[in-house]
Formats: sequence, structure tokens, C-alpha cells
Amino acid sequence: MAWTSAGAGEPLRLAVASNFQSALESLKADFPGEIVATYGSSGLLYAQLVQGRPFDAFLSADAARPGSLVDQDRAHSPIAYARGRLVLVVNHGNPGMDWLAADKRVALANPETAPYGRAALETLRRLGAESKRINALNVAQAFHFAASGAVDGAFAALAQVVAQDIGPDRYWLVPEHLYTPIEQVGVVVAGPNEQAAKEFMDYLGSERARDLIRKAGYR
Amino acid sequence: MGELVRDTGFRLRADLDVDLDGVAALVGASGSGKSTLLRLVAGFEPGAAVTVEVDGETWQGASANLAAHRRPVGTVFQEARLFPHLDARTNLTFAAHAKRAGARLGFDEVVDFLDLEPLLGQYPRELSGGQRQRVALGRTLLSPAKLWLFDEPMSALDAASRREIAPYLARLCRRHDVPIIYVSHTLAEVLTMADQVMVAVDGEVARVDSVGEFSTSFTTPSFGDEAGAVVSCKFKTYDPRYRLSELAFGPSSLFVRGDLSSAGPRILLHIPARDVSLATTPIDRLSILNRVDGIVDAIDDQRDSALARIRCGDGQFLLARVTRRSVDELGLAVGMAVQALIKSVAVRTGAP
Amino acid sequence: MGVTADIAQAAWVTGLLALTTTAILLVASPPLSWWIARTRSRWRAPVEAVVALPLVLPPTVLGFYLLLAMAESGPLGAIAEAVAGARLAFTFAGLVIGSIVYSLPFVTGPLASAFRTTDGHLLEAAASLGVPPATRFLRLVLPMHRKALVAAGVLGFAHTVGEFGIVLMIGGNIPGETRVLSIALFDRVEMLDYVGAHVIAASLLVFSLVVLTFTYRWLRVP
Repeated sequence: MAWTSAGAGEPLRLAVASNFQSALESLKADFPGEIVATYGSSGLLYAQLVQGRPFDAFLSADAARPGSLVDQDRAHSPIAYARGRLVLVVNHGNPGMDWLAADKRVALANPETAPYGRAALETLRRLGAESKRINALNVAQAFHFAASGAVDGAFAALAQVVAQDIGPDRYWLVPEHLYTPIEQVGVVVAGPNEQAAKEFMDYLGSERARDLIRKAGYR
Repeated sequence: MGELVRDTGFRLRADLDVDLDGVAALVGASGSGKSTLLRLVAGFEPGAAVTVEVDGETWQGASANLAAHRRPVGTVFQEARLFPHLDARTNLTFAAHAKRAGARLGFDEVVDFLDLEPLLGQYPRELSGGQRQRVALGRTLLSPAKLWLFDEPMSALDAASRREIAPYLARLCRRHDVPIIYVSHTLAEVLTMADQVMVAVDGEVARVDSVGEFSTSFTTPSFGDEAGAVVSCKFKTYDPRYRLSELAFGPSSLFVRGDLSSAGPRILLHIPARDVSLATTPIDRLSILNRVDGIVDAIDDQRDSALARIRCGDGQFLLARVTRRSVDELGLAVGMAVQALIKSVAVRTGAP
Repeated sequence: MGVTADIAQAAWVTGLLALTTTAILLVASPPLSWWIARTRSRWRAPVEAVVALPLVLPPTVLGFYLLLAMAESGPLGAIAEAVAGARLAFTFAGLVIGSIVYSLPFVTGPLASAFRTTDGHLLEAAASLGVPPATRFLRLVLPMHRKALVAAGVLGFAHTVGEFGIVLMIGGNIPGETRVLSIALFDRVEMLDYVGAHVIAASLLVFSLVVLTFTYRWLRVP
């Protein structure tokens, strides 16, 4: 495979949902071209894109925002690059459905803006869990709330648990039937660097890249 | 009292053991430590390494420091120091928040005594300087105290305000509710208010005199035109026809307007030196009633006049201001017999 | 919940938080300011520095440490658990504590400056009347500086209303409890609800402008 953009000088500017950070770091090391990544919540990155901040590609944590960009002709070539896995990280006790049933305080990403938050809320509703919900800005902050000991547990991304090297006794992989799949979609942003961006998206779909993504905690 | 050493090198020595009764004036040139002494007694110099002992109680020393608000001492300052956000009435009653023992006068009595009624609703900024000081005086009278400190209460006032407040101060000093230490640099004030006089020189209280001794002592710093004698008399009779009281001054008599029969056993008179003339031979027919025989005790030549001290019958002195020409023409000399002709006499106090 | 109701609820929480914080600060700050203004202790400079920290530190730094302190294992959290059996992180009470820390210099600073101008002669006069220090403070110092007190209160209130960083870290964005206007605004932007964002942002802007204008005008009145 030949990477025409390699060594071309212009680094690739990526807007990346924060849950994908650890995965992208290993992809960066593998991908021959230079990459400059900006991590943030998908909503914020989307808003910045619409306001004209120059990005070459957008790796969102959801499908809706990239779809909206495509509808506006601001982006094209959508690709489902990862499917997020929701986990429940706990500070004490045995993580699982029973743990949730007790009177616990659980942090989750804002369900109205963050896909993992939405998935976490769906899970809680399906289980009828009466836990007290603490809304974090995003999945990273939800994880931090739990790590600081300020809450009893947090819904987070499996990717974070993997990146933080957290033992299996501390988290519960939430069964996928409990929430709508978290399809993470990426798009190429219309602009001068489209070609290089398209090459990166093709790389994302390659078996080599998918392997790295799986290792990082996605499906 | 011990010794105060300030950073500036100023030293105050006041090994004082004064029986405070009535009004003790504290006089001395500026810089002689009068105000500092008052501040030490009042407790406004908590860091000073001194010993302050009052009535056998240590207020300040190596191991003790009684906070200012716990010392039963009320201070009247040079400036009124009224609380600007409170009207006169609330300023007066502020001492109701006091947490210390001591006698205090009643509100109505103080308002009546100082004629404060019309001022009660007014704020300090609406009052004249003299009115403000009157309220300040009343405020101190209403605080519980066993001792009052007056720190030149008239020095910051203009002449009109001084005339307004002086009578109140004089009457207050005569009441003898509570002993008063009265810092002053005005002889007239001392002669009208004080019973005893403490003289501070170079940060040291050099001596304590009765006001009579003080008034006629030539070692007293010269007070110029205000010189005068304070003498002690006893009441003899009152003649209602002329409305004159006759007082015994040694073997002589002095006549004073008004009925002084109830003024107490001892009556102090203030006799300004400028109102005393001298005659070397007795004069028979003269409108001046008060004539006292005496011996010239001392003559102090001053720039354009002389001050003669006359020893009268029972050892008390009078002062007479005479021109130097008169000294020469009359041949005035120490030891000479003279008659003092007294034009005016002011009754001062009925001190015990 | 509709957008309007959500914003109204956030406004209510914000107002309640700012009022509670200001009330507590107006009780706690004057003695502290008085001490700072009058003491000759060598502890004055360190205490002043601690009080002033929120002026220079990013609120997120304070929020980060406050969150650790309010966790069950943290000192504040342990105290709250022991005393009231309650938790602090992500509660209104926790937010009040954070706001007090955050707005403290805005109340304590102006008060200390005003207290430094106190005429010591008046305090001496009050002491000579036998009035103890606490009464002198309550009856003389505070009334004489009532303008500074109001100004400090308004500053503290307005500053609490505008708080974001600390709430972000320790609030938990719980509607009706810890979701304040600045957070609601952030949410609206993330949800691409620019109309709602405008409503909140413009309201906060106008509110601050009006409050400050009236305060400055009132301070000029003799």
C-alpha cells in the first residue's frame, strides 16, 4: 500500500471524540503520515467545525453529527470506524446489575449531548435502577468523578478502562441489548486536504487498523 | 508608675503617687509627655513597657495588661471623636454597651447639666465644634468610670466655641463626681478648673502643688497676661442689702457678689494679677471694696511689666501686675508693707 | 422538560446558590477582613494569599481539589459524613462550599480595604467608654462601612452567578440541584440549541450590567 500524503508536509488535522483518544494514539504511531488531533466532546467539535475551524476529518462519537455535516455538504465519505462498548466502573462492591439496584451515586456523560451518556441512561431505565445520576460533561469527566472517589461508580467507555488498565473485578461490561449501539462515525471534511483525509479514513477501515481499535476496547 | 521608653528615644518618667481628689491639672510644655501619660493610664498604649498602678490595682505591667475598655477610666479627647453615623442621642447612650464597673450619671441629669436637649436629634456633622465637644463630654459622663481624663478638651476649638464650653467644664469640675486628670497648657483653664497641679518637665512629673501654691509660684512657666492667684477663703456673713458675701481671707475680709452661704466651708477665689493694684500707704476713700494688707515677697521683672507677689495675713499669696515705672516710683522692694487693691474676684470652687 | 422550564429551573438554582453564598460570606468575611486589616501577625500575609488564590488560579484547579476533598475519603467529605451523615460532592451544599471559596476574595478584599481606613481614634473613644471590642466592631465598624458591605455583597453575588469552572468540576449538572445557568448555557451550546444559549447568555450579561451599574451609582450617593 502506498501513502501518497506521507511526508507531504501538511499534517492531518483531526477532530476526535475524547473517548477515542487512547485508540487514536496507537493509530497515530502506526499511520505513516503526520497527525495533529484535537480531542473534545463531539458536540463541541461539531460546533467548531460548523463555525469554520479547519479540520480535515471528524471522528465523532455518534452517527447523527457526521450525518448532519454530510447533509450540509460540509463532509462526505462517512465510515463507521468503531462501535463503543459501555462499562460500569465501580469503586466498591461487585459491579453488575445488583450493584446498580442499591442506592448508589453514578456518574454518566450528559445524556443530552454525549452518546455514552445516552446509552447509560437507556441502560438505567431498562434496568429500572434508582441510582442517583450525576451528569458529567462527557465520558472522560464521568470517569474522573469515579476515580476521584466523589461518586460510587461511573458509566464509561470500555476504551477508558482498557487505557487505565483497570482490573476486571472493578467494572461490568454492560450487555449490548440494554442500549442502542454506540456507532461512532467518521467523515472527511470538505476542503483542501480532502485527499489525505480520505486516505486516513481508508486506513481506518483496514484490517490492521481495526485490530488496533478492537484492542483499544471497541467492537 | 514606671518608665516608658519609646522608639524615638523619648523617655517618660512618672513616679507619681498622687491622691486624686477633685481636679488634678497636668501642665507642662508640649513634648513633656502629658498626653502620653494620659494614654498610658487610659490603656491606649498596650505595647508600652510600663507599670500602671491605680488604686492598688495593676492595670499594666510585666504580667498584666488590662484592656482599655475594662479600665474604669473615661477620656475626653482634644477632638470630640463623635461617632459620625449616630445622632447625638445615640452617641450619648453608646456607653450603655459598656462592660465594666463604675458610677455613671443619669441620662436626664447629663442632658440637663450640659443643655443637650436641643441637640439630641442631630448628627455630628450638623453640630458646631463646641456643640460636638459638649456631646462628647456628656458621652463620657454617661460611661461608668472612677476616673476621668480630660486631654486638653478645649485646645482644638476656636475662641467662640471655647467661650461656649468653658462654663460647662468649670461647673463640671466643681461637681466632684469623679476625680479628673485635666491636661492643659492654658493657665486660665488651670486656675479656673484645678484643685491640684502636676507639673511635667522633660517627661517627668516634677512636682504636685495645690492650685494656690502653683498659681503664685514663680517657678511656674510664665503664662504672661493670664497670671493670677487662687486663694482659699471662709464664708463669714451675707448682707442682703448689698447682696454681698463677706469672706475671711486671713485676718482680712473679701467681699464677693451673691449669697455664698451654701457654697461650702472653703471657697476658692481666682484673682487675676492684672486686676490687683498696689498702694504703699493705706487709702481711705476708694470705690474698691477689697483691700488686703501684705508684705512684698518677691518681684519678677518681666519685659514691659513686673509681677509682684504679696504675702498676706495667713501665708497665702496674691499676685499683682504693675508697670516697671510704678516699681521705681513706689520704690517697691521685697519686705515692704503694701495694700493690695483688688478690682475683681471670681468665685471658683467649693472644694472640700 | 421543556427548554424554558429547564432554563427557569437553572435560574432558580443559580439565584438560590448566589443568595446562600452571599449571605454566608457577609457573615464570615467581615471578621476575617477586620483581622486582615488590623493584625500585625506574621500569619497575615499567608492568610491573605490563601484568600486571594481564587483570583489567580483557574477555577478548575480549585474545583479539582475541592472534588477530591469532598469525596468520601477526602477531609471535607469525611467531616460532612461524620457531622451530618451527608455527602458534599454533587450536592447543592457542596456547591455552596465551592462558591464560598471561589467568591471569598471578592467579598473579603474590598472589605479589608475599607476597614483599613477606619479611624482608630473613634475606636479609642469607644474603648474609653467601656465598650468591648466585639461591640465596637458590630456597632461602629460595620455601620460606618455599610457601603463597602453592600458593594462587597453585590460583587460576591454577581461573581457567584457567573461561576462556571468550579461548578463544572464539583456540580454534576443535576437539574434542580446543581445545574446553574452557566452550565445550562454550556449544555445548550453542545446541544446546538443556540436560541436557548442566547436567552441564557443575554440574561446573564444584562443582569450583571444592571447590577454593577446600580451598585456603582449607589456608591456615589453621599
